[in-house]
Amino acid sequence: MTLSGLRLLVQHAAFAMLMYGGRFGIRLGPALPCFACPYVAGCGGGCYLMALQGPFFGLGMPWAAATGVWLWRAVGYLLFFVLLVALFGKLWCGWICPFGTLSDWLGLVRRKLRIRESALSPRGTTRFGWIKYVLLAMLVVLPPFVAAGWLPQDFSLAFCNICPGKSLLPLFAGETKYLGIDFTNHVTTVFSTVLVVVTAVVVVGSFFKDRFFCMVCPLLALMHILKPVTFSRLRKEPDRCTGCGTCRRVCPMEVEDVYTEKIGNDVQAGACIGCQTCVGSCAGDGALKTTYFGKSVLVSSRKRAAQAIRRWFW
Amino acid sequence: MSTHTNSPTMSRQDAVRKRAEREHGAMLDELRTRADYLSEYEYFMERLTETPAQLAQRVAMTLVASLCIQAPLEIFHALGLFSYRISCASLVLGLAAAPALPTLACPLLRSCLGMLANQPDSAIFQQWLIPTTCDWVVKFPEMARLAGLAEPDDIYWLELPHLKDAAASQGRWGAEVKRLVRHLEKRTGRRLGARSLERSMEIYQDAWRVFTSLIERRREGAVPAVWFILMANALYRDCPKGWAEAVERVIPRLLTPNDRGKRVFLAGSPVFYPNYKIPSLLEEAGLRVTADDLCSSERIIPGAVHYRDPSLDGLVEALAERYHQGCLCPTFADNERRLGSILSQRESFDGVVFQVLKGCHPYDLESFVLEKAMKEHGIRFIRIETDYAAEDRQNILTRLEAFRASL
Amino acid sequence: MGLHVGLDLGSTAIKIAVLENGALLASRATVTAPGQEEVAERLLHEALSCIDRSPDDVERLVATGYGKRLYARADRMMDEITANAVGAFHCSGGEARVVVNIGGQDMKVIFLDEGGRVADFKMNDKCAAGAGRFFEQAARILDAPLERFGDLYQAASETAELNSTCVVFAESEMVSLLARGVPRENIVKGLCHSVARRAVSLIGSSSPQSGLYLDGGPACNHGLADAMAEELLAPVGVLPMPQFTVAIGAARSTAEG
Repeated sequence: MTLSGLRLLVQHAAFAMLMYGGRFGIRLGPALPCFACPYVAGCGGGCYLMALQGPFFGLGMPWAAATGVWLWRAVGYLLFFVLLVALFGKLWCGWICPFGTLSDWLGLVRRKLRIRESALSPRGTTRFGWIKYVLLAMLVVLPPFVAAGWLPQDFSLAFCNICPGKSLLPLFAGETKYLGIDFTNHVTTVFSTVLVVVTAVVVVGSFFKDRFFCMVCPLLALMHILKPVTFSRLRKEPDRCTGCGTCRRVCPMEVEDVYTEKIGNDVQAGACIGCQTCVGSCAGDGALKTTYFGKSVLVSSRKRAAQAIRRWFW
Repeated sequence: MSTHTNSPTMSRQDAVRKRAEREHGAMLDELRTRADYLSEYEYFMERLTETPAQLAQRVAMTLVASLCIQAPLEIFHALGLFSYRISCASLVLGLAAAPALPTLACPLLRSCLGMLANQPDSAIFQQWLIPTTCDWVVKFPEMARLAGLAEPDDIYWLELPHLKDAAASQGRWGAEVKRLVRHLEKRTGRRLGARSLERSMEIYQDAWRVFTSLIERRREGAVPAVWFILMANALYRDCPKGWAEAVERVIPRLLTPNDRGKRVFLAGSPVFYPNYKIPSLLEEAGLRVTADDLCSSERIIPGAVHYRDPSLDGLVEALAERYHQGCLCPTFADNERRLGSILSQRESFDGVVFQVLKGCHPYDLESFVLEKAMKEHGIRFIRIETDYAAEDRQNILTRLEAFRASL
Repeated sequence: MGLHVGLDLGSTAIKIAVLENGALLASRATVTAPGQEEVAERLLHEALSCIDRSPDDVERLVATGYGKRLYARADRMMDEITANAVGAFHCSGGEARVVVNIGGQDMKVIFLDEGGRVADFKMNDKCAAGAGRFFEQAARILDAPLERFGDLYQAASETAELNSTCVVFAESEMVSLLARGVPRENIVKGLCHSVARRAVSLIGSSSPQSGLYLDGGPACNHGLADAMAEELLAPVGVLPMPQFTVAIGAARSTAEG
């Protein structure tokens, strides 16, 4: 089985588990480092971004609650999240995230239609990469304001209110109510309008550009901040690289770092979604490798590159 | 007293052809009498002795003669064309072309010219495709004209940017390959479709996969240098499918030796049929070639043309990028990364043998750069400068034996 | 303990060295002629008979040189560069770091490490410029035996300018120098310098300042070493019995396995 085939399998298994697992008693908790959306009825686990902003166990806790047993649960979720990131790193994005899988489906339709992928060049990911940090900042800063009563309650879970995961993923559980304008008050009207627009942009964008939303995903930003505690690394041996450009060409995030690196070792960029496609398609024996606790788990080789024939499932 | 008269009974061209045939015949005899000869190799020998007209008939495609390896083969294949890579290392044909060329001319190009000038059916090439790689290649059409060769209707230049890392050069090369696509479309009256191009890419990828299995056997020391290069060379003269099937027939018959002996990496100027002087001298000196990065051997097709975008433009760009960025030709200005091709095989060889064809300036220059780099990495390196003549065999053999003793 | 024999089948001369317990007992040389195997065989018998030993005493015979494959009775073959390194290292008492070997048809420069192993080597290709053949040619034109070249060199008043080391072109250069009345001594000195320059360019820039030695038949002409020392600005030694270093090296290599 090729690496891309394996990934496709894992992605779909994860999609099924995270979207419908709750119905079969699978509950992985609310601190997952991927867009497993809690708005999906019967989901198998929840995205940590909600827990993080949330009024119960996150930054949105009222100060009074933040001193009691609630605090320990908040810390517990945080630690659990950090542990999950440390364990699997960015595999969460490329191999598990249901929203990522959804955008891969859109990309697949584009490929089937042989429509050219839009280039947000030069290198969209670096151009728009800062947005994810702005969103992350918003996500961290707003909840305490809501908890303190300086912002209306409707600002709680502000990010979720404009997250396209909330509008799109519940559709797979037959729930359409998050995709529409909520006229309850001015704030909800604005938020839901923004969400409709964001959803439209993301759907269209993901069709024309692989992993369009991942460019601005605040969860990816948070995980990248945690990179120092993760166990896996993407390493490059510049001595073994012939500069053929394959890594750059196959990267859904258009990361250039792996290609340009000529001295150092770790080449996992902020935009990297850990899909391992570069390692799988690199024909340089030992030029790229993924390590886990310093041990190589996936090493590029001419042989592996030669086996990967059905390339565009990636 | 009788006067000695000397009236030629045949034309010069006939004489050259006859001598070239003898050279071929001697080469084939030598190959067939080797202890490690397998009947499966006959297929490749046939490919390399076939004339262009026979080839055109066999593959039922129009031939486009091209030099070097930068024009993506998949594009020709998808349009029903056969890119016939002009390449020849015949001493006889080289000598025949010598009078029309500078003394220090590249032996390979000299032989190519001799081949075209003396082959009865070279008029079959209605088009020449010349990538602007080294000076000898760039000047090839002019030299051919001077040598009195019938000019083809059409010489198509493919301008190769000599920078690889610069984004502007990459863009220019992409545009250049697209221009080639349009040109070939116009000539054939066909449209290049994404589906047919993808199919051709898969066929070549398949051939590359088989080639990779062969290379794995080579790393174990199971493929003698001469036979490996012969098989690789034959891909210049064959459709990828038939070639891959023939290689697949050879692979199970190869024997992995218990004693791997001294193993070397062969780098430098291309080695092509029918002159296997260096590989056979390496064998004679007891050195086993387990890897190389010759453009006529392991680099004969770039392979691994992975892509994300299967639209027509996406595929063409992927091909352009792979053929340009992955090429290690010493004519590139920023070629530091070519070291990777050798260093990545570090575990499978004990020393590097670098062959410079006399007159091949880019490789000559590069040999010094590589020698320094290899010594810095603690890798034994030997540089052999030679041509297709046999007179220096002894001298080279002595050097290779001493090199082996030093490994 | 038997005899160790090194047989060096060179392009212009066949040399033999017979060793016992590492000590040289006999050495012989003759001009290379067709039927090398018989010539070599005869040479072996001559060498053995002058020390009153029989071929049965030979424990191992190692052949080296261009013609090593022609001598089928050898116990082992080795390349002449490694043999030269072993011989030169031994003959110099472990001092040699750079050995310049002037052979009949080629010129080799061998770099040795502290242990006497070959660290690197260079060799001129295809052309006999500056090699033994060149001196033979010169001896004929100058009408002076090769053995006297050393004395002629010392007697020279100045160095005649010779630009070519090519066997073919040097001939006409020498003829025209003679015609201009340049003394033979000066021409010999010029010849030595022109060969030395060629050797120096083969050595390259990385040569050490000591441990330079010259061997091979033409090295018997000490003028060559002097010229080379002048060109290199470093002392250049001539190995004792320079013609036999390769044969001695081959013989010794048996002792060392």
